[in-house]
Amino acid sequence: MSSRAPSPLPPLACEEICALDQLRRRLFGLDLPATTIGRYEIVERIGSGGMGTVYVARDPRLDRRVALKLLRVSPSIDAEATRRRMRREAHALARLTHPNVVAALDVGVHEGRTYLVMEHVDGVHLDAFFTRSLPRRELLRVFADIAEGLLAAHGAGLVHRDFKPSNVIVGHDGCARVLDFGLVRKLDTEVHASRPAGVLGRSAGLSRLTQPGTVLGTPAYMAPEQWSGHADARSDQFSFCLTLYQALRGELPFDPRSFAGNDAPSPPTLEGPSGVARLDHAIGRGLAIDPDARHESMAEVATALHAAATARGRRWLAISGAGAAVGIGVAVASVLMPVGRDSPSPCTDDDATVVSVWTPERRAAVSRGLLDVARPFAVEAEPRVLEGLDAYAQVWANVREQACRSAAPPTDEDFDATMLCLDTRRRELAGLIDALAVADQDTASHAVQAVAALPSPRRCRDATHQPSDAQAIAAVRARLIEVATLSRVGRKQAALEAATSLEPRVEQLGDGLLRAAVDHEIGTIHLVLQDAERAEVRLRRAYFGGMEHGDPKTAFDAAAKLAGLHAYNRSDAEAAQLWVEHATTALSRTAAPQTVDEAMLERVKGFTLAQRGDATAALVHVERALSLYAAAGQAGVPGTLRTLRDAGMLHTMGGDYEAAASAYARALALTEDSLGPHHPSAGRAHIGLGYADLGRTNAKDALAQFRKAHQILTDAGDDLGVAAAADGLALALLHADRAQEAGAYARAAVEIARRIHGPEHPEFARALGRVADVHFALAEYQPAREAHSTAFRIFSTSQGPGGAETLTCALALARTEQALGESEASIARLESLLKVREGQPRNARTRQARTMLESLREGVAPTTGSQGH
Amino acid sequence: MAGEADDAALLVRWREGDTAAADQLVQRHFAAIYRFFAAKVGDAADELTQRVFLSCIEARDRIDPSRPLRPYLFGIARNTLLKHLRQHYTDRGRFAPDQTSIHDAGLRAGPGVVTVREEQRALHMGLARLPVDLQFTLEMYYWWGLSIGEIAQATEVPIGTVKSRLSRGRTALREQLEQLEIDPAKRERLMLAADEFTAVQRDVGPPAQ
Repeated sequence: MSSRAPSPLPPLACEEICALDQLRRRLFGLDLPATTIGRYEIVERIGSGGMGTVYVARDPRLDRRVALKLLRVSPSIDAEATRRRMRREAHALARLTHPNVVAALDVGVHEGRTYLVMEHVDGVHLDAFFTRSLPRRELLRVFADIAEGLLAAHGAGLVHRDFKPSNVIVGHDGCARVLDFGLVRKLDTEVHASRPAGVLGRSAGLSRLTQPGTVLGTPAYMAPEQWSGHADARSDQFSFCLTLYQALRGELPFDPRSFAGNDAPSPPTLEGPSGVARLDHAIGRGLAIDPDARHESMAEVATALHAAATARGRRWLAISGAGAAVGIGVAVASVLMPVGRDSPSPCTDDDATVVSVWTPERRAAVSRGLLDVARPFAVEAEPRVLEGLDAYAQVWANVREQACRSAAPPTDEDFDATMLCLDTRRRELAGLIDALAVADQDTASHAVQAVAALPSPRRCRDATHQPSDAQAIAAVRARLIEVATLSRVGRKQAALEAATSLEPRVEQLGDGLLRAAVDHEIGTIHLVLQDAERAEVRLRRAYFGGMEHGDPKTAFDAAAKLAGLHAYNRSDAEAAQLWVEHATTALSRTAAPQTVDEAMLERVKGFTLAQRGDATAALVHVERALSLYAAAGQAGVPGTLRTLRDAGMLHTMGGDYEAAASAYARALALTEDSLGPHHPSAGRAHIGLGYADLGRTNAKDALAQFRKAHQILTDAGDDLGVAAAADGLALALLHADRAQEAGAYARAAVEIARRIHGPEHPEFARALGRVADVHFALAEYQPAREAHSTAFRIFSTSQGPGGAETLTCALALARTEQALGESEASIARLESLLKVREGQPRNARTRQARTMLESLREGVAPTTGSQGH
Repeated sequence: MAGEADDAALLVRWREGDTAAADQLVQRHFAAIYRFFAAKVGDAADELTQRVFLSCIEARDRIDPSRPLRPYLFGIARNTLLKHLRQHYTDRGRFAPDQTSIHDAGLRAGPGVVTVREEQRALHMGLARLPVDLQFTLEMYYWWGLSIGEIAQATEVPIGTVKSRLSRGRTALREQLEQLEIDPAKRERLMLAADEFTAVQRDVGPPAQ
């Protein structure tokens, strides 16, 4: 029989082209160009499902990995309408940004097929995730995340329609994200028609294979109404509750297909899957066959999950086995209720109101305390502080009233949590009031910011139940509030001592949450005290402790500070970047992230990029931080000021002095407005403006700015500020060829640095360098050499022989030696400088060193001299 | 294929060390092998296709250029598939290609790249329920247009066995379609189409864009 020639095959589909190219690369080592879909370069296939094929791809425009889903073509007549609808939904999804929803980045058409580009998440699908023996609490937390994601999507008008475990990915960061929103629209009528009458006994896996058309859905998780082609947010709620039930009990409670199309559906009777009454009720209701009988939205389910996830672990231990029915759950839950019901209701107890701490007497005491400091800025601060405290007390009262009104009867455990939270806020307020009443100069200069930094009582609305049965823990928490207050008003040393004295007690109690909070507080103080080593140890512990024990807010604060520590104190961009990622994770897990936190994250991203040398990208984040802080109102003011200073510094570093000046001018205006024109912060803004003027070679205006700064900071008694202003003045005067006058300021700065930092500190060396510059300008080479030598020794010790400032100092020394006619010493110094830098890329310093060396060897002095720096 | 070298010429060039010829062969036969797998093993198609071409490369000097290449490739593909099924069949010891179907092996027989029409899907599902030997024979004959002799070459059985498998396969497929409750009129249309292999290839042809 002869060979029958086959007719030509249909052309290759995208998937096949990708696979073929992959094969040719493997077999023949061919260097084929990347297969592209749209502008995306295919890296590898990670799976295919009913809806299409999913690839890891690379977006060359942003050089990042993305997930690309190439949708299957359905040869239905309304293909065009389908595509249009899909695009519309993809765009809706793209507008939705939520930490628990996989972000859609792009949607396009490739050879007639729609593709969707999504953020690429490294992780596992939920079904794989919950077969692991995961702590119950962690499981609930993951589901709480997912519920938030669904809730947000529903809020944006999106319905998932095919929610199931494999449509959730749990990233290696521990964060759960929902995939594939709205991609499944309507079931084939065929599926509906051929639905078996009673499939209860058959396994889902088998029927998935045997059902024609099931490629479009996953029947095991579909809500009953979806069989008749109807789906809305409540269908997702059903699928979610089914998945949750399965995760808790290891099996599905029933096969939803058995209810499909029933005229009079009866709700199934369920055993309590979680053993926590409230959660069991929430799940049961979500699984109602009649959509109208379910919860109004996912919010109720989410709330129940949050409450259960944050409940203490021992509640779970108290339940015997997984078979705990609803009744047992109720009993256990009530046993573990935190507060005795005999205590007076917080809603009627006047001692529990804000009136008890913000009395007219205390108001007068704060006013007196500030005015007694007798500094101009303190006088300006006084009305602002009083106004801020008034407003805070008002918000506190409003939140409490709302909570009391909405809780009827107020027995809910979340209500207790809100009250507990409000009580904490009230203690913080009382602590701050006490500190301000006896304010010293330092406290007064921090007063306005300290008021702004009080955690908002609004956050208490989202507080969830955390039964703290141990009175001792509550006592330590109260002491910690005092520490925070001390720290907030600038009394760092006292705060450190107070915090350290708490430590033995914390160790004894062994409460992870408390441990993390204390570590964070102490770490923060170390950071402000410039003790990077100790700060790092503490903040790391705070981060990991916070993440482990369910306090992502503390974890976020710690991670953001660690990013700052690495970027600023260590110049380690890699480590800073890592902590930015940690901070992002922690923030995404925070139940109710505040705008100031988001702003803080942007700010940290900004200075991490700045440390990498990417000032342009850094400024994008800085701008974002600024608009977020602006949106946060009064609470955002301290952050705005710091960010504006970041911006000014970045622009100065990047040589854009106009922009720098504008940032500092904004900082100055904001300071004058919110803190008063005599606040030290105004002085620092003037210093920034001075440097921006110097950059534009405008020594005269710079001089005026530094003088103003010097005046304000002297009046404020801010010694470090005075030293900075004096140094600026010295530099400006040198630029104006008034070296004689510069000398007095440079020496004043040195004295302050010696007094505050000690004679071995880099700050002292920096100030000394300026004195040496002055000597050099006055042709006093011998004293110039002595000052530079001391600075060089300090820098060599603190930064190492290759440190930037060490090298700058070595250059200055070589120049001085040259001026002294000691060419050989100068040549030797330059040679050793270049040796230290050997094998590293050239920079301005090595180039300068080379030029000097060449001219010295030729016996010709360089034609241009400079004061350095 | 005017102007292009035939498989035999390419094979000879490849043996002489011309990798480009090998690449051309791979490109020529990739779709058949890939689609053969994709319709049966879904995601594993990439890997199994690679295995087929890798063993082909290893066996380069043993391939007979005087015989058509495609039956040879399908022969390797069949062995690769059987190995894969044995590994994935829950009761490994009892996997038998003359009795066990892909469906029995619990594999998710994906519909390929595109969602095909309902009756195509039905035919697909019917085939997946036939013992692998019968399915392979029917698919080779009607789908890929191999002659009975070529199928005998690929499966290493006598021509008479192929003929008997074709006949038994058709009967078994009709029974499967009945069991799948496919509308009788449609069923007849499918069986008719199976007779006209070109029509099958057009309608039921390996799914593609």
